[in-house]
Amino acid sequence: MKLNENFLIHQTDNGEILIPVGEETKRFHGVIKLNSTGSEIVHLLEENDMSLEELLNHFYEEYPDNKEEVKEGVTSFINKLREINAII
Amino acid sequence: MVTFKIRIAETTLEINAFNETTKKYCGDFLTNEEPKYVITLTEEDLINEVTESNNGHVYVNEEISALYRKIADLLIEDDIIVFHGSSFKVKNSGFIVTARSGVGKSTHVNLLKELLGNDFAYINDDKPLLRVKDELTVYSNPWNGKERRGNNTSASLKSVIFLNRGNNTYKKLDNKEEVYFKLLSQIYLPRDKAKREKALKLIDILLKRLNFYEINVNMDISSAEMTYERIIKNEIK
Repeated sequence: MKLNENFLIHQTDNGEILIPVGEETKRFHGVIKLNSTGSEIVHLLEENDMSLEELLNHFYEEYPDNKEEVKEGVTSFINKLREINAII
Repeated sequence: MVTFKIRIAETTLEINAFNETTKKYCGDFLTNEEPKYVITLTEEDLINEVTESNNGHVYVNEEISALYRKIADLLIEDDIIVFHGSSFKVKNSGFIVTARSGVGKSTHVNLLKELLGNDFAYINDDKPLLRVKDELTVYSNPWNGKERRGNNTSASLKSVIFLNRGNNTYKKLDNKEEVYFKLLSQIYLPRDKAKREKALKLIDILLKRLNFYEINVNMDISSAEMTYERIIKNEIK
């Protein structure tokens, strides 16, 4: 999966946001405020085509002691991104 | 086709439209100056506007709405954004009162007009333009709401006031994150990626340079007195 090119990551003074552009503005009218993990995920998917498993392994390496928490958080965020068509 | 030129936000535009009513709508803003940009409306623009307008307000007809959308998409190149709000000036200082549609921003601003008399002048009661350069300048344009309240004028913008219904309370908004999301919903964001990114950058600048307030008001003249005494008076000092 990759970040849909019709989504824009914008840096504000209070962290990053994810916002639709182009055709995607017709489907999703909102904005997603990203926490640090959310930012890391969207940047990874902007640069790479990764499976959920690869993404989870990336974060397991970063947080080896919190695998369950990481799995729940990352999976739930990926589902949210799928819901709004931000990843394809 | 009807061809005419308008001057808004210190920029002259040549417009190629379908209907004479569109030229008439631009009334006070017609000019004979050399245009910087040329805008030609197409059948496709009008068809798209029907879809767009399902999500919001249509100005008189699809052509007039579509024209403003094209102007807004173009002027972003010149650091100009469209704000959804009622703008006015008090002794040459500009203000924008903004709220969700139907909450009563126009009613409140009209009460300010009643209170302040000749010290008050409308800029644009619905969709003012805001140039974000060294100065923050709010400009009028023909798209000034159902009541057509506005003058062909501009002012240096001092603050943005978010309005809700309530019992006449106010506060200065220091939480810039909260303000950011409020602003996002009141500023036109073009669909095009580069232009939308530009608009977001201009919003970041606004956030740093303006004062923001929230007022919770009833629709009585006392609410205008509060907005004037607590906010406007301090900002125009």
